[in-house]
Amino acid sequence: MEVTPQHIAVIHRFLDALGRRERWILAARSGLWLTCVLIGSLVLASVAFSAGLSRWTVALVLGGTTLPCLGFLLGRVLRPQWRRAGTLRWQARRVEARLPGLRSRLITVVDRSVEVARGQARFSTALWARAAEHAQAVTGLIAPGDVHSWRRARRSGLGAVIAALLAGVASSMLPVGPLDAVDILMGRSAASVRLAAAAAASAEERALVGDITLRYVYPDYMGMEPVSVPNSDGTIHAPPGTRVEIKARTADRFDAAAIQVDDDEPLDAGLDGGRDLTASITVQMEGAWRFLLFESDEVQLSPDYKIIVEADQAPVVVTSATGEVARALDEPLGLGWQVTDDYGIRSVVMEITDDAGTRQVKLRTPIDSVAELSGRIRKTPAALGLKPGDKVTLQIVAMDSDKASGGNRGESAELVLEVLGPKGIGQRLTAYHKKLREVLLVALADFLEDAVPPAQDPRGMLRWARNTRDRLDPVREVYKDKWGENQSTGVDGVLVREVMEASGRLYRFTVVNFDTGGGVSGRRAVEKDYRTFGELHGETVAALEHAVWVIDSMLQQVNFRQVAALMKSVAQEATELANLADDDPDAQQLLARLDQLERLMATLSKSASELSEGQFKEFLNSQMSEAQNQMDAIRQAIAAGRMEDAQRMLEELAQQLNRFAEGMQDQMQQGQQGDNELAERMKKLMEDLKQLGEEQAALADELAAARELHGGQLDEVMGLWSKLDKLSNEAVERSSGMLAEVGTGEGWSASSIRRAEVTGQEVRGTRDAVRARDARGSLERVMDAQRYGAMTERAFGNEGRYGPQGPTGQPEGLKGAKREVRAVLGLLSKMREVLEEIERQPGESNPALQNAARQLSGQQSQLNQRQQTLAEEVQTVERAMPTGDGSAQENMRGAGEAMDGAKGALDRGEAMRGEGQQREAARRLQEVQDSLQQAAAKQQQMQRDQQRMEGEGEGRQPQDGEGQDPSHLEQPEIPTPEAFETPEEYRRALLEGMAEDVPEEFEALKKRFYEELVRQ
Amino acid sequence: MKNWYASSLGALVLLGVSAQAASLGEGVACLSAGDLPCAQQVRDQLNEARPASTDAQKLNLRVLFREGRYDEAVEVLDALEGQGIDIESEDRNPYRPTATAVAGMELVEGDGVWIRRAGGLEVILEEDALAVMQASRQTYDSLFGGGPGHDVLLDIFPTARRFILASGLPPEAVRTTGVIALSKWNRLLVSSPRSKGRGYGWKDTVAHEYIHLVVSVRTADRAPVWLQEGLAKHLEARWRGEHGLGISTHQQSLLAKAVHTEEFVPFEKFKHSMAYLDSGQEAALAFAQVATMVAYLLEQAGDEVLPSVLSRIRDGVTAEQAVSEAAGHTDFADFRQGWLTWLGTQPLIQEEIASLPVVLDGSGSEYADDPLLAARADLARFARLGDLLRGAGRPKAALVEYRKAQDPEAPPSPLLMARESACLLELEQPSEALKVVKEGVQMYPEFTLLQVVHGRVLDSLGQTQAAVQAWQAAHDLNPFDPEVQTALSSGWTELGDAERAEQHRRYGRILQTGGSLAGESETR
Repeated sequence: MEVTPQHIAVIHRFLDALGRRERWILAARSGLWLTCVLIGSLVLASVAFSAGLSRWTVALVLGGTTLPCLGFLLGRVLRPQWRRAGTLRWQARRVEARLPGLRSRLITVVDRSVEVARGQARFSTALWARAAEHAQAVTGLIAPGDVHSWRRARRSGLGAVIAALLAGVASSMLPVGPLDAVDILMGRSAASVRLAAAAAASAEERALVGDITLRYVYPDYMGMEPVSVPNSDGTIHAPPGTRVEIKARTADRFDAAAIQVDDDEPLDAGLDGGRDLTASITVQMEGAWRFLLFESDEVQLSPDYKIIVEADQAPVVVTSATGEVARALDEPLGLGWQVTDDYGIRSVVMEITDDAGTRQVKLRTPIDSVAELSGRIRKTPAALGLKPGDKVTLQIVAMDSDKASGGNRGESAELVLEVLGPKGIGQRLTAYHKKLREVLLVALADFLEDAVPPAQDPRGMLRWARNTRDRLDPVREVYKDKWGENQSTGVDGVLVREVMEASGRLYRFTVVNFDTGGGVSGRRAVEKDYRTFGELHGETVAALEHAVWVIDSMLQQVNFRQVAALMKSVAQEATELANLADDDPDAQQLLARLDQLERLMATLSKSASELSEGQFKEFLNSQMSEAQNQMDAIRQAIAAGRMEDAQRMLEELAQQLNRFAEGMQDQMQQGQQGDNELAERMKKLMEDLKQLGEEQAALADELAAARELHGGQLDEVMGLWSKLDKLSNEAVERSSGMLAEVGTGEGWSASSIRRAEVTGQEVRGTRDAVRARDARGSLERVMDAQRYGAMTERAFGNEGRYGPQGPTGQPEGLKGAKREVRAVLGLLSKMREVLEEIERQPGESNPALQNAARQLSGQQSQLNQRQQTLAEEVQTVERAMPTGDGSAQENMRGAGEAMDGAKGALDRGEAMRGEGQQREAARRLQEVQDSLQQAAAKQQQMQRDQQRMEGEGEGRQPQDGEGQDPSHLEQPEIPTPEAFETPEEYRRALLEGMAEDVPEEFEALKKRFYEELVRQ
Repeated sequence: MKNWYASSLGALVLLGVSAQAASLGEGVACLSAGDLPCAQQVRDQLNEARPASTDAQKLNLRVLFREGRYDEAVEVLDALEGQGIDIESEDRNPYRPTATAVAGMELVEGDGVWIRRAGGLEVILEEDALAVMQASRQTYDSLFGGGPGHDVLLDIFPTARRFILASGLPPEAVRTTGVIALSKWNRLLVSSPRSKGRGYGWKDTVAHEYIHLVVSVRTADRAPVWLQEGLAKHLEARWRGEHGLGISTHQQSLLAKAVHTEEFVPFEKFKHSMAYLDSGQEAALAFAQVATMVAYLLEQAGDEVLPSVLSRIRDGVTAEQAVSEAAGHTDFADFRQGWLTWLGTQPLIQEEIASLPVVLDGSGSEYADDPLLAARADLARFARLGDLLRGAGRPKAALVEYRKAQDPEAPPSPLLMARESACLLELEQPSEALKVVKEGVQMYPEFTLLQVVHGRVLDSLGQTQAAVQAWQAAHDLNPFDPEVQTALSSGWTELGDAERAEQHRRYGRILQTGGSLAGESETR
């Protein structure tokens, strides 16, 4: 049989049909497999969602597992089969496999049919035809279902059914069924799904949720860093668009959680460990939010928390002063300001408004967005371009960082600033001093009216302290009102400080020493305590008296000068009036000028009313009264047309007023002359004191030379005394350091303070004894000081254990105080050794030395006489100085006693003691000079203050060496951080500055400076 | 002060000289003898004979000056100067300064006396000044056997400056010695109590100066300064009927000390004037010495010896001799010894009391008139603090300060005693206050403030009679205090003396109105 193409086509059709069938079967199986996988995945997802896992976690896990499986099945299993099923040869082989008897004839026909069709056959056609014949026969013998059965597809179908059943079971058992899982994976929240199915718990039963932390992530436009609010009450305050990330913790365990805003679709919340919640919402409008907490098929709601939408408010700006203030041209404004904003401050400026318009002075443009800024404007009106007489309105204006609106503007209340000239400054300064005198006077009266001691028992003493310690508050207030945080540059600052220190010592002592209750100090108040109270009370009174007196003296001087100046003006006006009457006696004009004169006299009378009650005031008043009377007579004369009489009386009036004005000028000149004379006396006295001190020291040197000559063995003793001098000085310094560490005593136990103070006294006593070269006395004082020092050390050791700070707290300065007291004890120990060594040394038995000492007694006697003469002069000069406080006289008395001691020692031939007393005398003489110089310096300060009160001294630059104390320096302007290129540069500058050494008197200023810096 | 007279012998001769013989020299001699009527007579004769002559003008100038007609004197002076005659180089009378000093002052006439005072507040002095002058004329003219034969003019200058101007004295001398009144040029010149702020015993001072005038007239100016001052000082309170040593407590304390130490001021030292002594303290002792000498004389011989003593002096007997003999001593040394012995028996105040400083026209500090505080600036501080505290209504505290201001080693301070008493009164302790102020008044009766406080304290105790006396004492020292006038007005009303009450009410109104309500005055 000839094999025709038709035969071949039949075979091919048969094989194609087989291929198609196989592919159908593959497709069906694939579909079923996919169904199984999908259902399985959904069941897994429903399990996962029911367990509270988030959509993304589930999606990720499912995606991560299912897709590879599907890929593998499709790519590596189904795809080759699919492709293979489309080939004739694969189908031929499948048929050959079914009909082994064909012995590859079908395959051969399929393979060679192409060559045959092209006429390229190189094989036996006959054989090929025979094979084709058999192959064709096969097509009729075998059914396609025999080659490709649906049985496997049916198995897959069974699997799918099982999967579906499983899904059904899952759907009925799990809170989130497979179909729900589809929803969730498609975007619906698991919570809503669960919520729909869950049985809600009682509305009143809310789940306990706490430890809420809100983290606000502000919209980008605000340029603000996220802000975390731990321990929040759950209320959200934020501007719209803010995403709030919420962390919280539930009291019970749950298996899923969601967050819901109002009645919106709940959003899934994270739940870690069944209790730790994490969620986030974006603030859109006001409302409430809550957690939905799922446990199995139940849901509990957390309490509702408010959402308060806060639009970015304008900054709030407050200043330390409002209303009206007046400043001198060169006086720092001292205006404190504070800006707070809800979301960040961009800039702070000061706006100065006057008739010409408004201009701005930049204050701060913070590098980072900050919610709070503060500062103090130290610029002077001059630095702001203002001049005396200007009256401008100041406002601090802040802009926030709200980029949406371009920045909200916050304004402080307006402050009207009046720039004063010298006269205005003087008036203000005078008013301030009057107020200060008034409050100081009240405090002085209170202290003077105290009984001293105010009680006979500690409780009464403490009651007194409690009831009276606010006596000086008005003084503080007046001072602070004037100077703010700054220190006064005038003598008032010194006086107020002295008063505060003295009263501080009094109250500290009273509270510490009479607080015997509770057994803290473990001691009873003794008579000495009451005596010490009396002394400290007296010191407070003295400080107050001194302050009142000095301020009053200044006010009196200023007032007198003002009266004198006014008197001069009145006299000049009267003279002009008299001349006018001579030249052109126009009645109306004369009356007008009389009115003018009368007004001047009224001003004068007003000023005169503030003069102290004395005969001058009485005299002045009577003169003014008389002048007034004359003026009335002149008016009457003018009115009656008696112009000649008026002229004559005007002449007389002018003469009278001029004579009186001249008298006042004379009086002022006499006062000035008195001051000059006092200055001359002072100068002479200082020279005399210096000379006396030098001669006393020279005599001591002479005595030392005699000792070296005659008393060889005494050299060693003198060396020991010299050593003691150094040791005692050092001990005093260290004990002062110890007391400085204790400071105001705040936080310290009463016993520690008291013992420290006693130790300080004892140590100073040792120095005095050493200076007097009293070996026995020195040794006794040293031993006493050692005993108290040891007690103090123990008391310090107990600080922090039993002190008022409790078992853990330690008072400030404890470490330093311990260090100092140890140093004091060490020095005392050394002193004791040296003194014991001195005691072992032979006495002053050298007759030659004794004789030499006695020979110097005459010279010492002469010096003593000069000292006595100078003591009177010291008394006179110090009494004449309003700022003299008696310390020069006290030191002069000390010098006199030392010189008397020296004289006595020399008379007895005691060279060593004599020399000691001589050197002590020389030292006290130096202290006399120092005291007088201090009083003179204070007096100069007084005079400067007076000049300022009189409206003088402005624009005057201090001369070299004049007024160079730190309080006279203008407060430094604090540089802002943005003045530096980078924050690092700023920090570096800060640290370098803090490390720099400054003179001692500037330490406080430096401390204040950096405190303010770091606050920025 | 005493005026220096030349011998009155020439004047006596001149009284009988005819108009034709009148000349400038004669007139000047009259004036030198203190005989103003004589000079007036010569002037009139000269004017009649040679009205436009230079001599007539020169004498007229001098007489007008003594008559107190200063403006007219200046007109004559101007005329003479217009003729090229420099009269001021011939005599040193302060013609022009006096005219300036009395500018605006008004003259008031009394019985044989004239008062010139300033207007306004000074009007208050008028009645008292007239009364003092009239009482003085009556008392002393009688006591000394006669007085000036002309009306006596008293110029009361409102300020020390004006007084100095009119006195011709160097200002320094006035301020050092505290001379605030003079008897010179047949007139009396005193400073108003207003010039010393808190006043002074101006009435006795007027009487004192009048005594000088009388003694000068009665002795033809031959009485030495010691006797002049002794008589004036011892008798200056006699016009008001007071008989006593006539020296202050301060002077008594000085005298007691001098008796003890025998350190008296030598007579030679104040031969010419008390104004030239070294200090106020020395002057006070000198016054005490001479006043007690006169007291000793009068105790030994009685008041009636005075006319004869003055007559003997006028007749050429030395004052020392006249006084010694009148007192029954052989010579002055004997008299002095007798005086010393007598002095030892006198109850002089031994306590050291300071003299009140001289403070004029309100000069000096507020405590310048206090003997302690003026010298002790350190104590004055406490006083000032006390004043401030008292002003603040805190008398208890003020009292503490006032007591701090006292120095037990120094003479007591009158001001502090007054202040302390005032504080005690404010603290409602009037008995304590009275004790303090009484002591003060005894020590410093011329310290007006003490008298004022004394009055207040007595008023508070309801002792009206005594209070009025205290207020009256304050008025006598300083009538320019409205409080004093108010208190006196009330006091006299209470005591039923409506006239005196009205008088002080009127003074009060004058003070309130600055003198504008003062009555009309005659101007000469």
